[in-house]
Amino acid sequence: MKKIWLIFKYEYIRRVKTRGFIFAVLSMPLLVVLAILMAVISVSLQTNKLPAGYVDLSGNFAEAVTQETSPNLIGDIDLIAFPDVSAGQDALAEDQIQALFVIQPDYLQSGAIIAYANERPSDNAYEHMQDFLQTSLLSGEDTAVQQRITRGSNITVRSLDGTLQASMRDWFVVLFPFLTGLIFIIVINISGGYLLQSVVDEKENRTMEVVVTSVSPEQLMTGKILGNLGVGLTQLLIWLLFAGIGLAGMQAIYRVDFFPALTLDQIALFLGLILPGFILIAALMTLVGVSVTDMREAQQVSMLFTLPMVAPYWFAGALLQHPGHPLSIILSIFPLTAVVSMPLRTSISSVPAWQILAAAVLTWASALAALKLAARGFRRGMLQYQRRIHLKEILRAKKS
Amino acid sequence: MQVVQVENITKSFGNLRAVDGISFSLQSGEILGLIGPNGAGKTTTIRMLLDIFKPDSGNVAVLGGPMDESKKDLIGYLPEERGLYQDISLEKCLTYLASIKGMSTTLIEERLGFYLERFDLTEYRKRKVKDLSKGMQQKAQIIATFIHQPRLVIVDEPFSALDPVNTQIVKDLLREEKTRGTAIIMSTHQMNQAEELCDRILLVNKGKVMLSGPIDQLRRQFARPEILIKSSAPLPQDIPGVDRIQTENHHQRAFLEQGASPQDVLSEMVRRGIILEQFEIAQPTLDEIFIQVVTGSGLDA
Repeated sequence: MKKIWLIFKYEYIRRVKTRGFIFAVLSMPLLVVLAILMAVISVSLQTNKLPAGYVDLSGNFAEAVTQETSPNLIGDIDLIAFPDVSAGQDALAEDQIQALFVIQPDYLQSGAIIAYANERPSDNAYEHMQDFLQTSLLSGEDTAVQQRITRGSNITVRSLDGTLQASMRDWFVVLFPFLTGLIFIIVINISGGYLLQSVVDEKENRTMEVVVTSVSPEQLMTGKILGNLGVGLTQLLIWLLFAGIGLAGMQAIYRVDFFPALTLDQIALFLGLILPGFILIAALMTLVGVSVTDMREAQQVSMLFTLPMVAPYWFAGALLQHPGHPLSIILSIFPLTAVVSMPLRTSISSVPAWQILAAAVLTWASALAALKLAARGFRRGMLQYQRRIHLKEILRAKKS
Repeated sequence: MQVVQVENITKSFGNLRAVDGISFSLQSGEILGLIGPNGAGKTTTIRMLLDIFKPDSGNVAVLGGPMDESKKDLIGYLPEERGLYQDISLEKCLTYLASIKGMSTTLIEERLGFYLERFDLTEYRKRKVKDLSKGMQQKAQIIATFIHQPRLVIVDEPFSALDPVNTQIVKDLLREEKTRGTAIIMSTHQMNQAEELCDRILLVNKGKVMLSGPIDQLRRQFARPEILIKSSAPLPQDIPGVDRIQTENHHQRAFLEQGASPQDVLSEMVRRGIILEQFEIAQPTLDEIFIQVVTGSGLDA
């Protein structure tokens, strides 16, 4: 165990101290922050902060009072009532308001409003006016009725056996497997890439021949897999930390709960599939690393199993619309696609227990078989310089 | 103490029989020269000793029993091709390689300082390995081989890329280790180095042992009836027992007749009053023995 720990530590520290890793870790959050900042600045620059005005010719809004709207990214503006059109137009001419909305006498029948503006009014002016009209028209109603009409309905989809229910508003139920799957793919690609590079480099520069005189090939392989997986997870944790800080910031500003609530089932299913998923891909990456002659070839071969991992995203529509379709079932059971597909299916439909079990068993079995094959391939291929090792040779090879 | 005992090991890769029944043993404090042409099976034999490959048949006993993981810390290996991490500093590279040999951090620091000083690498300890010259990398690899004071050392072409000064440092190190009781297997193509350092030779070709034994014994075994003579004047051609005399660069070579004794030839020359500066029974060099054995021209010598 001590030697595995030493290899793990070496692999981990060697990677996380590189400029490439630090750049990769910081570049993503910085890019996101930069993109948000640019968007906010851009919207802010384009948004007119002047109040909007209105004149009520219909007489339906005489008693109405303008209400404060909730804060939004664009920013709020005031809505000013004018007694007549000419007063409003004077204010517009003097740039006291950005637009003047004239509610026509037959508004209730036609919904007609004429807007005067020197240039196109900003979106918040339209939105504020719309909110004002809706709230005012409903002013005579009970508060609960007002809220229901303005907020709409909350439809819950429930399976016949009652084992599954999801609210249409609970966007996170569907987003969770999408995001976790995406994170899995990103992390495994990062870790796998590092692992692949580490194995190919050591084979190319003959370090492996020296190291295996101190540790067993299995210890070397395990240490490498764990070390590079740790690098990927570190990167992920740092990103999540940044995301958490971002969400907390948004929560503080908008007083809206942005943090998702996860159920134990969701976590258990994800962990039950993601762990063997990681082992499977890491073992396959190792196998490729020791079988090929250089990094370029390794990357090409590794696409054979990194591409199927993203297949669920190609078929996302089918998975969501027809979760019981044979294609959806196959995708959610096949080891390379199960990690993403199965949680996605279970989030929107009731999946038979045997299918979940089959996915877990198959993914675990594949992971263990791949690990065994990788260990055998490692011994067989680690000292084969300038020569590609074929799968047939690895399968035929004895333990050593 | 017997450190290595190899009995009739074989190893095949597909249809190629890389090692075919090799046997040998090695005692502590002994240097064994493993020589042979390219593809003879030397590296495969070494890898079986190191437990990287398992033999198809036969037995390998190292340090008193079958090779296992616990014995790896007692073995040092210098591969023919340098195997160092290129993108890290020399110090980090050597520290890591020493740590996986089971050495404590304190001990590594202590010994690393000593070896870096000895090999004149102290000022390069923070330099990346890839920025070092081939010779420096070879010295670094040698440090990695010996830093944990192994009981068995296997070195493959240890003098590769070294200048004469550093070659001498490595020779001295090998001799010191031998004195300390370390058993050393040296695989090399440099026969003069093998002659100088090795107690015994194991010559392999096509996976088989072609020749083995102490160097002096092999020389005697392959000795030819020839005498190297340096004299003040050209030698007469009619010396009894001498078939012919050939003049070479710095001496003359006398080819003896079948059954003639060098002692009798010497006596005759002295009797005739020939002033001799050198009289030496010509023994074959290891190079010559190697060529003879490998080309099959001297197997019956």
